[in-house]
Amino acid sequence: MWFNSDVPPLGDFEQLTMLAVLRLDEDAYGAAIQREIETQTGRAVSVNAIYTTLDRLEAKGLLRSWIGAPTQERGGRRKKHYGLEPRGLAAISQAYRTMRRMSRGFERLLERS
Amino acid sequence: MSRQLRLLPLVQWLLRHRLPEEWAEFVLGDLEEEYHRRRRHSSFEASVWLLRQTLVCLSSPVPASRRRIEPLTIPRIALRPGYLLRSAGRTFRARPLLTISCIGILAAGIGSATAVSAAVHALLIRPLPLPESERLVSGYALREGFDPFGTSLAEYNAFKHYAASFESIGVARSQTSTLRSGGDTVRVQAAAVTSDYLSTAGVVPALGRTISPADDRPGSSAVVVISHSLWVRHFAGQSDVVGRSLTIDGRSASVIGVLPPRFDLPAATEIWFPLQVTIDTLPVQDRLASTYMPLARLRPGAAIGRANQEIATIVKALAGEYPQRRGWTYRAIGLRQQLLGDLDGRTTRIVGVVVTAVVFLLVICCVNVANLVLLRAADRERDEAIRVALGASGSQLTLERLAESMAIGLAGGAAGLALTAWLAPVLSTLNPVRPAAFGPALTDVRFDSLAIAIGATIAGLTTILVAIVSHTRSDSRADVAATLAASGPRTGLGRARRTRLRLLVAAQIAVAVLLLVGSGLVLRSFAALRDTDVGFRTRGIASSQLTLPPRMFNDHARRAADLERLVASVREIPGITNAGITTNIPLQRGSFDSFFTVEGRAGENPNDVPITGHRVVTPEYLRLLGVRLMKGRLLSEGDTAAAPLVVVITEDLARQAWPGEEPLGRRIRRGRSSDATNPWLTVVGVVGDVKEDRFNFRTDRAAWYLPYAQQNSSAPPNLVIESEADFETLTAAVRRRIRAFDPDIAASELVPFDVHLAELIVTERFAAVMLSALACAGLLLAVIGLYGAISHIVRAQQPEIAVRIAVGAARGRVVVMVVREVMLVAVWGTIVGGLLAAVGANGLSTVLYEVKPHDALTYGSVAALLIVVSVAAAFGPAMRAARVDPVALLR
Repeated sequence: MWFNSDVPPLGDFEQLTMLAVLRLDEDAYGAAIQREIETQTGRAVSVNAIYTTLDRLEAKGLLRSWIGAPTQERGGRRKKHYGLEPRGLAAISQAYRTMRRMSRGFERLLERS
Repeated sequence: MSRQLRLLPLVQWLLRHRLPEEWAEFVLGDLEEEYHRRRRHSSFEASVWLLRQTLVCLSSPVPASRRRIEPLTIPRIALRPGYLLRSAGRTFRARPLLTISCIGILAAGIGSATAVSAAVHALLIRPLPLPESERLVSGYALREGFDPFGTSLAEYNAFKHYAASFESIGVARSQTSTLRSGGDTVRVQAAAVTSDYLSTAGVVPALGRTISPADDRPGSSAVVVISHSLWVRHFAGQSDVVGRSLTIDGRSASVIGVLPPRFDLPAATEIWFPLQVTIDTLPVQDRLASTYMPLARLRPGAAIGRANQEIATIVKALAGEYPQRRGWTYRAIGLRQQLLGDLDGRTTRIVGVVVTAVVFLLVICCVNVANLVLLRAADRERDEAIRVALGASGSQLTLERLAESMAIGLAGGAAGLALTAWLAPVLSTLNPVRPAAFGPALTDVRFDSLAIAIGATIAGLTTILVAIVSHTRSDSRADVAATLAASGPRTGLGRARRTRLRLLVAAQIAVAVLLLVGSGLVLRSFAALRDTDVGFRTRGIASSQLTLPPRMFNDHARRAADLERLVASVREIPGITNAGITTNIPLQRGSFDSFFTVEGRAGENPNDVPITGHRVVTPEYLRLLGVRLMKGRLLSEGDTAAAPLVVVITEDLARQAWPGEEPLGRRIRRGRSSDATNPWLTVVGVVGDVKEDRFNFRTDRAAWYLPYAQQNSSAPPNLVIESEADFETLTAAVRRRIRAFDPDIAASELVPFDVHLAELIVTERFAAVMLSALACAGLLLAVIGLYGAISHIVRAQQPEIAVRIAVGAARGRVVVMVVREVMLVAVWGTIVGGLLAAVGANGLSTVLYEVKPHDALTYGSVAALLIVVSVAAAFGPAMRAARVDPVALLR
């Protein structure tokens, strides 16, 4: 469909969230995504911001969610898992390509500083 | 472990109330899982982390469900009026007092505007119950300085033949007749009419026919046409009335027709009979008697202005034929205007002023409601910004707000119509205009479909105006961040909003100033009119018209003696301090005038026909009237029929007759210089000027007073009494005394002179009362608007004020700051309003009496009043602001 190609541009934190979901694959849920972003970026993130962004991305049709089984360490509570929709993959790919295109020729400079 | 046990349940308990149900499980699960993981490294860091996460969740909105914000589109909303109704209902429940205030203010504005529109429609627009009544005109003859005169048969005849603008014209002469009804004789209002009078009116008889030219010929049989009410009353509505006879003024006449209900031209007439005269063969005096009322019908398309041009030419030609008519003019006016007694258009102008004032009040109401709606919108702007941030569409919010305005407008309109239904009969009663005929048609303010349509239109326009004024603001998402930033708890009111609030309040003050200046001018004019020195006393005196039996008119000397004895007898009634006789009651219709000739005055301009008010009085009359004696003496008991003939004149007459000379001892007589039949009268006294004329009430008029004993006057005498007692109770005593004196003398009720005076300025009084009420309402609304706005501004500025107080600002300075803010708005509003009033007041100049449209006192008082009231309204909010506890607020 023609409009599927027209994926929305992603904000900075949205990109981080999408990449975390991509990296975690089947194991992407709130606490794990939060941990992944903190570990990889060194940035302190609130659970609140994570869920607000996940909810928004799902509303835009970039992510899908499903409910997992309850676990002991969560006090018997269930997880809400997230996965990329094809549109989500298209959106994060576009963001990556944009970044690549914009930084072409400056790789060495950018890597070094 | 103990810390874990204490902290986790606390956090979970706190967040459970804050998190949406569908999120609580995942968020709480994540927090617990991560907390346990972190505790493995450092229990303290884990606790700090948990607390931080909890605080963030508590302070900022958690991801609310998208399903809660219904992204409605316009067509879907249109299909769901219930949603908008619910939305409006929610607003009402949130701020019931505010909503009720809005509805009440709108109802007052819409109700008064609709009721006044309905009254104006009845008075000035609604057609009379006659075919094409807008083409009907009447007219009156004019002579400089005199009350308007009726029309003469000479004028009627000339207009009938030469005025091309008139399709037809007829005249009527009103009179009081007696009708024999069973064994009783009753008084009825009758009119002698030419055959073209009723046909010009276009009235179609309910039964029989109207008067034909054959009926109108001298010597034709006596016929009458009767009114519908007389037919019902006298003939019990029997259909065989035509052909039956009536005894009118002792003569038998046969009924030829019954007119339809509500027709009572010329003046509440119940019986019409043919005039039956041949004008050309009448004596000149009768031909020129200005005692008729004309009714003409303009040709289709003819204008009254054109008719008046023709009439001017015709009247000029008449003056050539009849020298007595030199200096006279004639004016045709619309029948409606004549019926309303609005000969100079003053009533119409006053009605216009009242209507303008009502419109201004309506404007203040609209601005006030817009102000209130805007303040409420400000209160929840932050909520709306958040809703927009979470996905609510701008159009949805706009529609919701419009729905609220519509709901308020509709409720206000409905309440306004209910108010109109109540006000309409009140206005009918209060209406100061007493039409000469067609009374109910002109004064009955009806709450009919037209009034409802007018009210609905006004309500619709009002709603749109309120919606436009209160809702024109941007809703683009780009503004959301700015709104959220600007409406945070630690910041003041947005600059744009503050400006708009100030503008709205200043606009209300400006319109209130306009209303106050208008009503102030009219009030001062009314006071000047009421306090006009008429040159005689009006308090504590009353008059009663006496109807003497015909036999008393046979012998003048005897009549004078009889009346003298009657007056003496009345004077003995307890409570009556003085009594006298006069032929003319001041300020009443039908005053008597006379030509006069000055002895030794040669070279009289033939066009100059001097006229004076002609009063034949007993000596006591002048004393109890309280006229000021300037020179010589008043009339005395010694001025008998045998004594030398004397006269007392007013200063104005003295100036006219002997300019710059001594009038005492000089001689003057009745009639024109060519007419030597009347004897010379010696001036024995000069009294101050009097304002006795009804229509020229505001000007001094020449008048003379002649002793009743020396002048044979056939005019019906009036008994005038002076008393401190209640005149209503005195009437019975006076009538008893008169009946005992001569049972054939009838006396009308005693009417105080005050009442005559009050009747003259009843329209002005009505305008003054109406305008004052409207201006007070306008001022009240403007002050409420100012108070509401300043309270809001102060509330929004409280954090700023708190900071100022915290860093050492004196609380007095806070009060000054708030008052200065109000003064700024009030002064600007007053200046703009004053300027508008200065321009608008020129329109008032024709209804003002002895007050300039730019009367400095009025403008100054209004400005002072507005500023004092504004500062008083600001004082409460200012004091509240100064009492702010900075520590509590900033914490």
